[in-house]
Amino acid sequence: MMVRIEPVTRIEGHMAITLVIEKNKVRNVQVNIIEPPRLFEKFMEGKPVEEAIRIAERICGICYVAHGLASVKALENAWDISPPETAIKLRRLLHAGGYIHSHMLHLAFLALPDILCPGEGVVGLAKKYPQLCKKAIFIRKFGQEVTEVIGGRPIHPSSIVPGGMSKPLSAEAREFLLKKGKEVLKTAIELVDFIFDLYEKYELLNVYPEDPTYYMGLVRNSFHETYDAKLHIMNPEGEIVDVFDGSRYVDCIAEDALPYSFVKHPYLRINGEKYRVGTLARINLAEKFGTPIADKYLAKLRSIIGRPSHNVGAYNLARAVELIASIEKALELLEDNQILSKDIRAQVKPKAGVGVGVVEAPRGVLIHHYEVDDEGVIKRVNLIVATQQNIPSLEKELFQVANNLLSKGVELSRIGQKLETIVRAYDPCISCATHLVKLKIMNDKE
Amino acid sequence: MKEFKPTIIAFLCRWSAYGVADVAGISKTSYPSNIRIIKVPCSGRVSPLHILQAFNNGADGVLIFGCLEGGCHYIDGNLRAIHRVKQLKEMLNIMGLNSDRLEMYLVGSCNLNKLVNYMKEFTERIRKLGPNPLKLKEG
Amino acid sequence: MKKIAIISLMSDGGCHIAFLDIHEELLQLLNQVNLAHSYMTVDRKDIPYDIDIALIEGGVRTTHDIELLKEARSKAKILVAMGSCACFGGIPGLSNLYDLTLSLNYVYRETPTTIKGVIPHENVPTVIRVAPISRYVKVDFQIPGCPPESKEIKDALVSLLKGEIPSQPTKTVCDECKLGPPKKKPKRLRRIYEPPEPNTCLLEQGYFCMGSVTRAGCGAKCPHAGIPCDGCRGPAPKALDQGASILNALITLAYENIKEFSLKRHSAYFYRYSFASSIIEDLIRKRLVEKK
Repeated sequence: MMVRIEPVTRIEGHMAITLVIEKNKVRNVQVNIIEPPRLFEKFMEGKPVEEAIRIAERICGICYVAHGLASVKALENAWDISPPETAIKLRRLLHAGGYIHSHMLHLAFLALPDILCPGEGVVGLAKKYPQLCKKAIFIRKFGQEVTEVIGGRPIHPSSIVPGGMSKPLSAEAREFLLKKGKEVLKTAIELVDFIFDLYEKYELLNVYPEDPTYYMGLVRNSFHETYDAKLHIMNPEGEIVDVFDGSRYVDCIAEDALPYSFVKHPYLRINGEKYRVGTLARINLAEKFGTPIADKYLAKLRSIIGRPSHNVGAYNLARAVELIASIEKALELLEDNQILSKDIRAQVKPKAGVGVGVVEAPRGVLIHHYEVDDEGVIKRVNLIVATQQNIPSLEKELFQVANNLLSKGVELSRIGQKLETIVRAYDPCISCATHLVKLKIMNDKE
Repeated sequence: MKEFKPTIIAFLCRWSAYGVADVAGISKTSYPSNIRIIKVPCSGRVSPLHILQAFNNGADGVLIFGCLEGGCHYIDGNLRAIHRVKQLKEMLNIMGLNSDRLEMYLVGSCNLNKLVNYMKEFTERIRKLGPNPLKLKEG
Repeated sequence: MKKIAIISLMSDGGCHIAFLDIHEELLQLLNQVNLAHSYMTVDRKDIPYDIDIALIEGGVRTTHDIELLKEARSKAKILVAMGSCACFGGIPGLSNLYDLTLSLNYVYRETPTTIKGVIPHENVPTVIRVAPISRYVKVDFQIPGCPPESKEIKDALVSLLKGEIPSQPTKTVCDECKLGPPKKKPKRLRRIYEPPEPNTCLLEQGYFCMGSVTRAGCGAKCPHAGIPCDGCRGPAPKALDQGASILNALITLAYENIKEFSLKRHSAYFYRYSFASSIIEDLIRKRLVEKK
């Protein structure tokens, strides 16, 4: 018997889950990413590489800042450009704005409704918890305001250019963001406390599977880092087993294409093992954030889940702590007077070359790899996108949980709901993980 | 086999070629009847979109007649037209249409014979190329 | 209460985020309408019946998209194309310049990190040429932009809910821009890695600014940030084909100094958002049929 589960759970599109069940055992699980493949890696060929920045942002309507930054970093790597310090600070600030909007979106619109008003989504949350919604919107709006001020637009910013940024930060805008940011931090602390309390009250961590995997992420001098550092790999026992520069990623990461999914499955070349990225990976890998309030919450989180933690449910708690860290980092950058400098653009000269740009998108490691000719026109592109790196683990976890529940005699529709909560924890990009799983039972002929 | 009569759209500048063609009626020289004439104030008025639309609607060939160099009533409309035609020819190649299906000629305001000869030559060229392969098809 | 649905096809989700970016006003809106389907915020997964307004985000890229689209059209009184992908095909339309089989082959078999390569074909829909939704269903209203302004989406919804046709800007981005109009002819082509002169029209400086052929409504944010307009709001009302229009304008302005304008080489500038709805796309589709 084949059971087809179609949540409109999206990873830049739609996902379905197909379970093959025989004799009351799950024989196979397929995570079918049926998202329409737009094939950016092909149609970016032949384009002037500086145009890739704005084109690549359209890969994702949530983590567009991360794509823009990874793209410009790949370009600057190929052309040997070092942007001025203030430009880097502005980019980091932009990145923080992206994290605030993305993490708040997930926590408020996707995770919370499933705990507080299952089946009712944001509509239910708005009715039953309007004050909570207002707070979440207040926080998320700040993220978008940062992006609009630094990036020129709240969605798909245009100010990221080769060599730096195209416009400086004005003193008025900085005052506005700084003042607002302090209020936002206070509100975020309230919200994060609320989330931690909910997890404790409903013992939510017990609801999720444990899956000991490898982890990959950026770490800078043992600190949590999202813009620029070497990639670290941690094994399931918590030991760092490799540290490498992003430009060598092809030696470390491989992908297999699958007949049943539009997204390829990555794995580590050294041992063929799957690995996870994202909020949980980052807090496993880094010692601390380097910002006081987030570090306090990190310590609290570690006292609950340990280090490394393999619990899928911990992704959300890690996400909440990262939200605090992003706001603190934004305030730190805004308070630095150098952020107002007008020296934000280095000289640029195109040449032939290969460049790799690596950043941490909110959902995980993001890699852009461009080969360009001597006019600076793209010859070849490769992309490793954050969410795809978590799919192999997701599949295995779904298999485990489905079998477990089936053997306990749990009814199929309840199993579907359970599987959905696991998908949701990863916050697959554009996660519509709030959707209740719709089960379609296909008979053997299909 | 029925003989192929090419449908050709010809844009004629009113300051030179159009006036000349007008005269054709009075003198006994005729231009080929398959040529559909569109009068434009200047060959520079013809945009890439007009040319593409002509082919999209099934024209087998497109002709543009403008004034001689230095003779444009609007100074350099004809020179712009020459550039547009050059770009469009390149574009037609990419779309699988033979770029010889598009042509531009510069003619003075007196030479009826020359105009008619161009038209006859072009018609013959298109007849040899055959009908527009995109006529009346939709994907 | 009127029933609204937001349905997504081939999209990045940015238009949905633009909708959510009405921020506090979202809470008010949720009290006034029945948001019956919205893949990011509402749990219902199948498309409900008797929809008053359906907002379609994204263009068509697979056979599954066509099915969803037709289902939405049959169940909705008013169908709105939201965002440049739905209206014109969007940036993914650039994929139509490349052979689809070769593209699938590259992405699923030939990238530097792909070891086991196979083109997906099991339990997944068929991939087809990118198209705006108007190629398959009747569209009642378009909200262009990549993404559209949040206020624009909300205002359009409010008008449609009252039974009125929303107003739409009829001018161009050029009209909204403080830097223009161009006072001189451009002398050479410039790419955006070169910093511009401040307070001077970007087109005049030789950048590929699409402002003159792009629909107004964004306040010319990008030129004001120092970057030429890339045409994300699609063609202005009088520019029937965005790429052909800008090519025409550039040749007119600059043919003496710049000889290298070419639709082929510069399609990423001229047709970035509207290739799938261009006249060239029509011609290519005819050609593909003819080849068969």
